[in-house]
Amino acid sequence: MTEKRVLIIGGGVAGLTTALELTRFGIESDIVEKSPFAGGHGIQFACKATDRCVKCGACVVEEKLRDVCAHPGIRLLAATEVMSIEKKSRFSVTLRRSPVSIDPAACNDCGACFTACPEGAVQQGFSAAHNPFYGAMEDRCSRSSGGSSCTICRDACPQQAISFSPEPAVEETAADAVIAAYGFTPFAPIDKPYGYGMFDDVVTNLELERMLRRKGLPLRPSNNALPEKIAFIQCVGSRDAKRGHLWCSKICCGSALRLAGLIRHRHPQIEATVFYIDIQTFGKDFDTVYPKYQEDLRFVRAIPADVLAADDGGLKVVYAADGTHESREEEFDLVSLSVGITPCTGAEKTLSALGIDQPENGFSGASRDPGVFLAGAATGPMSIAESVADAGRAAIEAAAYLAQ
Amino acid sequence: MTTVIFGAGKTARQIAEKAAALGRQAILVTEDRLESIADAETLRSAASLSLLTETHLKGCNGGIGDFTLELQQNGGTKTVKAARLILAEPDRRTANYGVYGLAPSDAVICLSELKARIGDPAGFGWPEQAPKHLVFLHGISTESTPAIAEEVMTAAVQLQEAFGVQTYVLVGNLKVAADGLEALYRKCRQAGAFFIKFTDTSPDLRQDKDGTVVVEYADEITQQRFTIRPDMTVVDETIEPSEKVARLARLLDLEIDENGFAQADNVHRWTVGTNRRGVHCVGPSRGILSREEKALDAANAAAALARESGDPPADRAVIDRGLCIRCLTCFRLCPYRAIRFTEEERVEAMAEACERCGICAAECPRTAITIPGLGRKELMPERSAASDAPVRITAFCCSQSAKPAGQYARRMGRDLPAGLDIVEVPCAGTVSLPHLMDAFARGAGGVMVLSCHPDNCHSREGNMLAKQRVELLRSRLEEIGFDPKRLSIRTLASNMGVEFGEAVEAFEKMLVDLA
Repeated sequence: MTEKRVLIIGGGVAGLTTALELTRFGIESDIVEKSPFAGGHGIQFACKATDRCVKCGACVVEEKLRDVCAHPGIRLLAATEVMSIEKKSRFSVTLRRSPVSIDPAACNDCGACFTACPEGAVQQGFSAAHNPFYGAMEDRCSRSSGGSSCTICRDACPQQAISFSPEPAVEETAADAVIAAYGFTPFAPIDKPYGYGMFDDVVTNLELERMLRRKGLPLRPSNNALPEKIAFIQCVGSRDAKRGHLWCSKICCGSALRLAGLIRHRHPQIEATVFYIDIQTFGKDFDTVYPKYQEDLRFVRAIPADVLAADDGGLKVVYAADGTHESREEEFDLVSLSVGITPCTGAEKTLSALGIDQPENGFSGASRDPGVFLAGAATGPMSIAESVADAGRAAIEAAAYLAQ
Repeated sequence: MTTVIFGAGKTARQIAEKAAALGRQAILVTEDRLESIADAETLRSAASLSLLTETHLKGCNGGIGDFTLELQQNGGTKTVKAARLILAEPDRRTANYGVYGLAPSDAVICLSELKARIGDPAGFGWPEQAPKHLVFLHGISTESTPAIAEEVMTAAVQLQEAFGVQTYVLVGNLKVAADGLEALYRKCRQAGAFFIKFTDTSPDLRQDKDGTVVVEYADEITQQRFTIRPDMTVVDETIEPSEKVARLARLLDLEIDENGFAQADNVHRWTVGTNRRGVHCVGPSRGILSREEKALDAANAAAALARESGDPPADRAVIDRGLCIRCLTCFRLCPYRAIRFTEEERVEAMAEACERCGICAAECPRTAITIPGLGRKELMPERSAASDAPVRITAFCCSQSAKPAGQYARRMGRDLPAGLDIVEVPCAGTVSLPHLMDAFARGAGGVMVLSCHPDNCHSREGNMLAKQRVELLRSRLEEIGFDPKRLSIRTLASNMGVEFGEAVEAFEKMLVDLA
């Protein structure tokens, strides 16, 4: 009966879940994902289980991606973005495919392109469900950004799986409803006084997650050795009135404590310190697990003022010590910044084409178009579980709209 | 298609309205009396709705699409048929007087009481008799929640702005991890509320004979000592599941979390899902949720009602009547409550409710249960091992975790053992003792069971049952002089490609060393 089709912008957990929920109403969809690897930020997270599951939800993203890939009613277009969108009788949409394309049928996962690329633009997937398993990040590829005629990856491929299109490949499509699930942009800690971008061993919690997922180890980028002392600095870019970030990012306390707990579980010799404002409740079992973290980790209720280089290659974290007006310097050899969730950048054009309001905080509000629905962290900080719940809501609203 | 909704509160009504919009008949069932239900008349006059008050659930049989509920009302019993059940009971709040060592008095009230006064100021002689100085005790020595923090801060803003009350919020960890709360916190401070935070210390609270409280504390940063003599002190509240939820969860055989809410703390459970298909649990019945999360629950429950249940799948558990001795092992162990008694007192698996985890078939002492595709002859390695492998390994991999982890390892270019044979199973709980012994009989030098982490099993404890079986078989193998190290179990998640590789490589090395 229904020939209605939905366009989902964003292939993170919210977009993937919305697509799956829509299939329960018999509605098919196209998911458009800018990155070559669908699954959003969540697909890059490590499992943080210790002797048991700590309910971080990373495996849920994996599960959603697998289900989407297996579903015949969902078309997942990775390395694709919306160029323009216009509401006529339906939404008519112009999509742009990445100029570097890897044929998943020909690719045999050998990784020659990954090794060969001088720009580090070819990246490895984060999941068995990433097909192809390698993808070119457009922002790093000199072909996409600089208009160069580099052919190194193609020449390196023994399978002839890589092809270039001279102009970005464009595809026209139509949709009856649109789900805006473009997610968030992690706060860039570059202008915070924590030496990010200056010191190798200052990383973001997202980078630490990726490292654990890909290598299984929390290594210091400077020397690929295990650290002895890790500092986790919370609220980097969240709860920050100076920047007008009047929100808690909701997920960072859970992320930092679970990461620290995992690292201590695997490497009990590593000491972990958490610098924080207020520890936020995460998970249904918070009241049971928090006392355990309090025993296992060191908590300092202060937000550091500075991260400086120490003489021996380590890092000095400067913070206000309890009970005094003085600042204290303490040495660490790895610093993880829990960067906040900030509004998605780069979606402005799509946002205005879809009639989406932007409230004062910069996240996305509702759309003036009854056929446009928002889902997930595009509207504000959300955990994986909350994004899944929100996607369920968006799906039933879209289904009700399409049934009219 | 009737839906029975337990509860008559706000969430229950929201869902009932949405059900009506979808043309679904809803019955609201509550233990409460009619008088205690706000605006009960509107409920009773709604065409697509019926309301059963003072009604208690006594029993439930059947599964999704075909539940039979036994209800007790006014001493009589009645039977109601329903396609789906929704738990939407409110939670229970306890005022934290005891936590702070205070007794309720004119000068010491709880948060709900304060909200009542703000809602009806004239009734309490406000603003004339409103307090001048008011202290909130909030999440000190216990951890509060964003839901309570929002109420505290909303009240503080109102008190400051509308009644000119100077408020002091004494707080441990201020819970702002919900929409708008950090902005509310700033607004609260701008309105003039003082926030005093406690980390390793707590305030000294002394209650005088007249009921008022004297608060003394040392500022944690400056160490300076302060005394506040508020004319009103407000204690916060703890949110817990109501007794009704606990009772319903027991009668419906629902998994509960460690606080007693009627939804397991399992990441694989769908937002408003439970361990039983067709039984949903929303809002304050499933946990302590923020305002926006409760609204999402109502929408998701409505989505569940909108779905048509399709034909029952054909590959589910079947119990052989001739072999079954009605020992009820399957009934006890089925995590999804998919086993029922028929009117002829037979034990039967309901295809609509079965999730095909294989636990019942593996545990049945009479091997009376078969599940297509999971039998001894059917569960075979997906590809035969290379003939020149130093040792052959059979790895039973859970499809939820180890199977994708293994694929991820391979795609990352990990050089997995040449003799590794993977047998995909829907749950580690599928792997029975015969499955394990058959793998050795087929020539495996080592057998691994790779399951999900504890508390992460989609089928509640399929992983733990598999572990028990492995341990049992290991002790038997040892008795007959077979090295038990050749049988191993470990836990993984779907995204643990590196760890999968490490596990199978270490196992192979151990087996080679044994030889």
